[in-house]
Amino acid sequence: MNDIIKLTLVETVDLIKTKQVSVKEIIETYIKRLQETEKFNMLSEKNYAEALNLADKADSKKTEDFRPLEGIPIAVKDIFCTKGNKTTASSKMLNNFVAPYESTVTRNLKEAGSIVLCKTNMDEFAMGSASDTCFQGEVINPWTDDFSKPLTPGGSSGGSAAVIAASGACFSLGTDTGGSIRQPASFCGNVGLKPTYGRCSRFGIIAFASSLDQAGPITKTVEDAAYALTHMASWDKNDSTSVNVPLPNLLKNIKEGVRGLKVGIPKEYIIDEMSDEIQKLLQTGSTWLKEQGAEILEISLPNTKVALPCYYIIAPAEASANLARYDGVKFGFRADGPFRDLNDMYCKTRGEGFGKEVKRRLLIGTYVLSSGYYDAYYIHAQKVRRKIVEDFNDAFKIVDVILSPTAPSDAFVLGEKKEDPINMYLNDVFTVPSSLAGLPAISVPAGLSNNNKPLGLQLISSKFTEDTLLKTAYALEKAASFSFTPSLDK
Amino acid sequence: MFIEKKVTKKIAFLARIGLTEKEEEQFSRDLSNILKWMEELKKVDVKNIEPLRNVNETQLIERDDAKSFKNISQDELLSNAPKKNGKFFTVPKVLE
Amino acid sequence: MSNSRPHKISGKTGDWEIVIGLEVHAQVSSKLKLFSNGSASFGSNENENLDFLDIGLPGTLPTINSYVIDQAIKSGLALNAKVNNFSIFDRKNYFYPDLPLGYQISQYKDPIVSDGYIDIDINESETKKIRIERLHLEQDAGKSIHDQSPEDSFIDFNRAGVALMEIVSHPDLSDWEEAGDYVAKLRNILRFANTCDGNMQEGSLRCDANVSVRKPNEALGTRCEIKNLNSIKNLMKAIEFEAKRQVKLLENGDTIDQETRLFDVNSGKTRTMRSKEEAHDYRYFPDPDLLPLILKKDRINKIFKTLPELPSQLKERLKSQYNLGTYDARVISAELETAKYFEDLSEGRDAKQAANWIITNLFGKLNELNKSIKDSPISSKKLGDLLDFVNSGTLSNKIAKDVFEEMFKSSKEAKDIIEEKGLKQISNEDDIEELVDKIISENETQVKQFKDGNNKVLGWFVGQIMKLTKGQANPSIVNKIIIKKLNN
Repeated sequence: MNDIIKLTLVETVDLIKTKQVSVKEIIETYIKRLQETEKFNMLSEKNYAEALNLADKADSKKTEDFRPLEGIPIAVKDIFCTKGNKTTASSKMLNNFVAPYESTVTRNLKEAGSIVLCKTNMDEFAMGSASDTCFQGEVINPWTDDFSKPLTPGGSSGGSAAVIAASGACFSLGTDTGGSIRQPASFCGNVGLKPTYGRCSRFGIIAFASSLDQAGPITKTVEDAAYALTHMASWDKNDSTSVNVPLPNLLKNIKEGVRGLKVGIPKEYIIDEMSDEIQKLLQTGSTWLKEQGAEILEISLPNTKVALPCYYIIAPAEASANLARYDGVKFGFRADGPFRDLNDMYCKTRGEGFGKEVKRRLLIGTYVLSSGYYDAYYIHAQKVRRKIVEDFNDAFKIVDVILSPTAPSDAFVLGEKKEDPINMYLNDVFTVPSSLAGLPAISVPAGLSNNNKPLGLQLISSKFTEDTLLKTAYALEKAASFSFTPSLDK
Repeated sequence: MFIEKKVTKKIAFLARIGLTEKEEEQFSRDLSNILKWMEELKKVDVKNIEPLRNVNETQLIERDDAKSFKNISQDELLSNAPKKNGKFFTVPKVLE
Repeated sequence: MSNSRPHKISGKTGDWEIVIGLEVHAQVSSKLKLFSNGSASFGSNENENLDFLDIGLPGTLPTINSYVIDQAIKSGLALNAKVNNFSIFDRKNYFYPDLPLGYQISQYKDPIVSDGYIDIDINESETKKIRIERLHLEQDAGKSIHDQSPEDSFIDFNRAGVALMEIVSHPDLSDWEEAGDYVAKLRNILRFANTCDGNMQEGSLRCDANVSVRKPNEALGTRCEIKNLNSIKNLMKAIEFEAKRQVKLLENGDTIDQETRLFDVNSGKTRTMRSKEEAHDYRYFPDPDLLPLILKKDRINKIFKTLPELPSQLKERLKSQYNLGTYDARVISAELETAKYFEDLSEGRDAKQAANWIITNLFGKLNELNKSIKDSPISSKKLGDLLDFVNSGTLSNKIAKDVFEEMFKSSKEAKDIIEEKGLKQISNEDDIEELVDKIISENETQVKQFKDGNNKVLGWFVGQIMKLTKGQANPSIVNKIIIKKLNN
């Protein structure tokens, strides 16, 4: 039984296709695993009954009728609207909300045969880097040894990353706005892939920052990520920002190797505050690729330093408008009355319905858009954003991929950074620039820190070149041979 | 860049977020710190740079004005309503 | 106050000029809404025909309606404006229960259409050009109903998301009559172009008026906005009241507060709108869920070719092609239904005659009963039949008018009335000769008067025949025969 959960997605697909194991057995195994790991508080909702039902249906099919992801159990970040389940964005505001429709990404996966096992906890409305603002409580990183000092799984897709670290599903879905797939993947020892902006449809994903949000898979291996993305991505006419560029075949040349590939290391990414172990990891990573025939070049992304403040103007500004619909009128939470008037209802509802971090960002967002500040902040940030895009365009004239650490540290202790927002925001220093530029990026587990916790390396490629990205990631993964898993019986 | 409490109050009302006194103080501090951090941004020379609207410079895809759309039932739409009366959503009375 | 135009308001310190700019919100005629698949039709039950976006469900996204874009282009062309090949959709952020997203998707700095104009009639011979600053597309809001319960307001989102064209004029209007005429003309043009049905009772066309006053040659005064005027009559009354209100305040040494006001139909006064007391900071920014709208020249040209004849073009054609006078041409082209009626009636007939009958006879009766041509009991076809009887000589013009009256009252067809009342015009020369012989033989005195050189008595003879035949004799034939007989 335990061997099933050790398998990769690709291996499980094969197992199911050849009917070596029944889907029911797979689903039951993973359900048991999730039940055993409840102490990590990864799940917002369990879907076990329906999952078993669908498992039976799958088992009654003939193999020739099997779809590409038939019977594959997945964990879905509670930001994707799934019909019939609650979708809460881990917020009190949507604590009892049941979406009457399905997101395009989960629909694609369901139509390919996957079975949603559960919805996962996250930072409220995807705003956070520690999954500690979840209305149903913090998510605990399965790599935690000492429960008196539980570690964060990262955020905002912490629940989804934790599930894969705990081997609770074949793969999970996350969303990445400033690093929310990559950083948790790094903290949990998984692969986390953020495709090019516009690859996956945003229809049915509860919006945080419209020009940045992107769905992606969190998996055990790079090949798994390639397989998952293949069945997630689609052009969607329901999403005006979705792009009609066909996804290249991600699996065909994934094992091709990196001979002759040019890898850039941005000199600005080697920051003073970076710990020795992160510096060393980066050097090791570059050596791994060099040994496989890649050429390592130093590049410059001059506007790296301002990417964080730029992001923390644009994302909250867009969020302040995207979250204005949560007003207690049509759906979701409404505070208890009596109310003096309508404005009182609004203020109480939104004051009580949103958590602290969300309120903080909504206030920033409202401020930077307000009269008198719009040009100085928002417009200025959008201009800086263009400069950041141009930095990458220039870099990709001389290199094919960019290598960097994913996060400036390993998983920190929950609550450590909570009262210091800026310190928390610095978690995203390596991931934010590629988000602003809409570029595809991936985190690959590369080694353990001095605390024996996972560390990830990030690769970034130019727009719509996920094939190049994934083959480089594959080579990195091969060299890293990261085979560590957390021991969960603590 | 110091944000006074009265500015925080005004912004909070614009965003219709009710804050306690304590929260007003705390958020004023947070906002001040965060906006100070933004000062780095101001140092960037953006002369002759156009603001970036979308990372993919594509065009708006248009939808047909066709009649074939399946209506969503009133019950489905009202299923999550916090307060309703018949098939109407209701809110505390607005005086114009 | 003088009767000259534009109206000025005279106060203790002299005359005051009025400066008016109008914002007209016109619902686009389309099947579906601007950014969602919700139905744009009017009159459904509350919260029926909605799409998920229309109540702002999490995760829903806007997608733009192609036909609505075409309608906006068409309207811009009909208003002599420039259609911009690049425009942006922006979010206008504020909180109100009938605004499901907490923002309205509108256009701010880069609208789809700019710099148009329409001409209004100042008097019989003069026109004035009213410049249109812009036309942009935006979402309509839902409806809030405040009188159904003491504690609650009821919200219906049917209208939320319907496509609106906001048409903003420059402050070129100088009194309430010009304002009324502008709206009537604008509405008429959009109806001719078939881009908006202009139904003000149903709310397809609404106006906001910006009103200020000033002494001649001085700088613009502080303006107040009067919102949601839903009839031309109310628009004019509201502006007149507001202008006078402002003059009174200023003459007293007070200042005008820049504010938003509502017009109370019952009292005929404008008042401050309570909920808008807090200043609005709309925090406009480009909507990141949408991309810029790029319009190619081909598309604009293609739509230009589909523009039907517009009111001003019809007016000119009536004058040049059919020799109608300015007044008649104006009346026929003033309303879409009138123009259509005229078109039907004048097909294969004399245009001037058709115009005359519509303006003098039909409108005469309709105005008496306060009816519009839409509700006319006499259709263009029926009136056409009547005109055909006149033109074929079956009816004299005079009798035709009587038949017309009867048709209006009873909705019967001309031929039935003529049959029933035996009103056919007598044109048979032999029959008339007989009657003329009779009259001549019975009236020797008048015959002698004629022979003595009194030509006027001819008319008397004609009158006698007409009396005898109850007006049914063909007057020109009677005339001819009497002359012939008398000269013998």
